[in-house]
Amino acid sequence: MTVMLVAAMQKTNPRGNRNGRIFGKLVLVPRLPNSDLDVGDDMGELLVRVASGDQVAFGELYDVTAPRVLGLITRVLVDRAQSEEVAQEVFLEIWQSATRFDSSKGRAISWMLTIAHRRAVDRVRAAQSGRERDLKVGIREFAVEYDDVAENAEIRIENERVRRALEGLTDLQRQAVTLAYYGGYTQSELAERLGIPLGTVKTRLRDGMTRLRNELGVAS
Amino acid sequence: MNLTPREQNDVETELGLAVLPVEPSPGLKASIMAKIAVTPQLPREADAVPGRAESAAHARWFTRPVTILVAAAAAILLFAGGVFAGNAFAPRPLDTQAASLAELSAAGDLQRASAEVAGGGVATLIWSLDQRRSAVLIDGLSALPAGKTYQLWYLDAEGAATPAGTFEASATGTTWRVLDGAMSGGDTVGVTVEPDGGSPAPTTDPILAITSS
Repeated sequence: MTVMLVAAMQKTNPRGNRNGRIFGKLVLVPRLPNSDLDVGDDMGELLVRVASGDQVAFGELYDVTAPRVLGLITRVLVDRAQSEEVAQEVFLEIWQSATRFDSSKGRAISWMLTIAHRRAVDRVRAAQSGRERDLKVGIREFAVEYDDVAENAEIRIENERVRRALEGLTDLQRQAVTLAYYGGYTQSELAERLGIPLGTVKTRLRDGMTRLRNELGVAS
Repeated sequence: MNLTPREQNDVETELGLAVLPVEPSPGLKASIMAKIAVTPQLPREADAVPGRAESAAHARWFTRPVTILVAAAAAILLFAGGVFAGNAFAPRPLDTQAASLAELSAAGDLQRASAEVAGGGVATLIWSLDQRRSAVLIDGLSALPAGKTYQLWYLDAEGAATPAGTFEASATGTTWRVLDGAMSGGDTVGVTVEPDGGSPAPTTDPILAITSS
């Protein structure tokens, strides 16, 4: 069953892994230096206004955040049209549940990206489960091919600071973290996919995330 | 050593912001603004439990329970610099309409009425007499053949029709349009099919008429 799921992911993945872009090895893309600008506070204020039913504020919030929200969704889903659909769902949810946002518990952008990530992953998984049953044949062959794909994969990381932090991980940690976050795989799926015990997956994720936290200096 | 949920979420935010921003298509904002105009918000909850969204997202790949996010953290919003900032604030064609719709739907005296469209679709008229403005939102409106357009009208109590703008059916989702001109109390809003560019007076029977009273 789980093997079948792996095969399904490989063959019908709506993220389009023709170039294996979501798997395995990272190709770290150099980019312009950051012009770091933290507008988290401003967005928190915007979100508070949105929570009071202010649709003008919602429009401003959209202007500031839409490219980042759509960027993350597109990274997970790849397909552009589907990504815009999901972005629409995301912003509708942001509108509806802005009343539940608590700025004392976190930053507005984190709250928004969490919603975006969840909905993007939901969409990927829905697409996969619908096609699973079509792939009962040839599972083993698929699985072998899948492993080859994994070795040639790429994720473009555009942010210099995060790129450096990811470079600081071991290859295995980086693989686990990126497959889990950008790929949307569960720990069990990763264990199956990588052929390692679940406990090992958990360890890699935990160590990788801890190291990223330290590298990025996001200690709270 | 385990990260706290807050640290966990901080790192995720960094990863989420690290990918290439994608500029949305121009229609996306208008479509979203139209939707929120008719979508109520959830009631506030005194004790916001960790949001369903957050919990679900984290449960997927980190099995620990997670409370909502974190303040602090030096995250980067506009790391792509001028390119992104320029795009983010550039005016988009539908922005004026979207802004008008947003202002209208925020009106304290907002009212609404719905009716079916002849030929298919359900229309909602929202209006504010304070702002003397109204907008029509239609789900399931058919596209017109080439050379035809939908045209809006304000009809006063005597039945005199004032043109209030033309529009096309949206290819995806809700069709909507803020009417041109000023609304008066008791006006009826109508829609007819007219030749491209619109007509000075209606030339066909209305496919929709909603009275604001």
